[in-house]
Amino acid sequence: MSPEPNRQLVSTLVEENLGWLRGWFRGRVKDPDLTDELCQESLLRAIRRLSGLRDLALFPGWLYRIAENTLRDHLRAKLRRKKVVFTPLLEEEVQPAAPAFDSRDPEKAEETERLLSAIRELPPKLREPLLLRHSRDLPYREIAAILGIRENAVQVRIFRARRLLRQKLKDLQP
Amino acid sequence: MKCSEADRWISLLVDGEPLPAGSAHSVHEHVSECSSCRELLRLEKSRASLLSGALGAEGSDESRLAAAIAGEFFTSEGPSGEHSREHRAAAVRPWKLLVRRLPPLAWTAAALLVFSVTGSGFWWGGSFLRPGARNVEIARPGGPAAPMEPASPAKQEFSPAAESPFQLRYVEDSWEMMPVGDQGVPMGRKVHRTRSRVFDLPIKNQDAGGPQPPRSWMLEVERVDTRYYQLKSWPYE
Repeated sequence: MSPEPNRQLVSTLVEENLGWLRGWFRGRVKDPDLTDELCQESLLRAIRRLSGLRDLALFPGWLYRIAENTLRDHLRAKLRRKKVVFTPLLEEEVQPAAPAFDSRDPEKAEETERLLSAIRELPPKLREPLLLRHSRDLPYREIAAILGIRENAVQVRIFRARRLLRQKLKDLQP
Repeated sequence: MKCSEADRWISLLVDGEPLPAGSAHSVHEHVSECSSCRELLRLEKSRASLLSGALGAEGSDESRLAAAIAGEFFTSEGPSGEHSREHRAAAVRPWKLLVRRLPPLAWTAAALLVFSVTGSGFWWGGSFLRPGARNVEIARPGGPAAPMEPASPAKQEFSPAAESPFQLRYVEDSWEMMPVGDQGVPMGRKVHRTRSRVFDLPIKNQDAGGPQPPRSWMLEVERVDTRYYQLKSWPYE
């Protein structure tokens, strides 16, 4: 059974996992503010339920599944909200969403966005290891631990994801 | 080695993963000889670096966000941050114990009873089970809270004008809107919190015009989703 969360443990868990989790959310949602919000919610949910985790080494995989659920909840709420008319909020105008990447080079930014859009369209099985790989250059071993699959499967899925991505981007080219 | 075979290993080369001992030499040899595979490796490397830059870049605010998350955990879990098993065990509600011990048949009977009472009330009596919108209460310093009629929908918006910025702060069961500076919360971006959420939204008082004197407003705010809270009614008279 995992130890009770104390200040040091919580800080360590957050620092070790925030990087890749943030990168993964960046790959899934466009809005950087929302990315941070979802990151926070997922990490807090995971730490609050830490006593249910039998081995602390499994924390990244556990956090990944919680993050997936958090994102799913958010998307469901968004769908529900579409059916209801709310008073318009002008928050976007107050704090315009900054691009997730460096916008100083518009060409590069455009290419990155094109690439990310194509990745978002990949089948989840192929998309997830690729996103985790580039979230903080995680090695295949860690990606396998997070996704709960074998390292060899990670290798194959990333290879297939890249091949499919090449095809998609080729089709998109004018 | 054929290009179709090398393709798979190129993906490993891009990620800096070790190649299988048996094929490492032949892969390197093939890539150095085959121009299309070399081009493929270059293209994939450039895409990988683009992606890693976009997804994995460590923002300058990352340590701040990490600290905010850890802080939020201990704030929401109580001042000591302890939530030991003993404490949780002691905090088990009596009704939970009852739930565990009641036999299923008794549960079914209880559910039927509740349904017959509340269900019929709902269908016959109309909407008494549905929560109605409450009026906004404005807390004035030195005086009791005064009820107020909900304002017109035209006023229910956050305006981007910056001349009278306010914060929304969750205090116990209600929300307060305070002029910025009262609480010393830095301006510039939202502080991401789950429960005690503070908004640094500049909110323009369209009626009063100009900066507001320091005072707090009790607001009724409803959660729209993880990101937005919406004012149920506008606090200004």
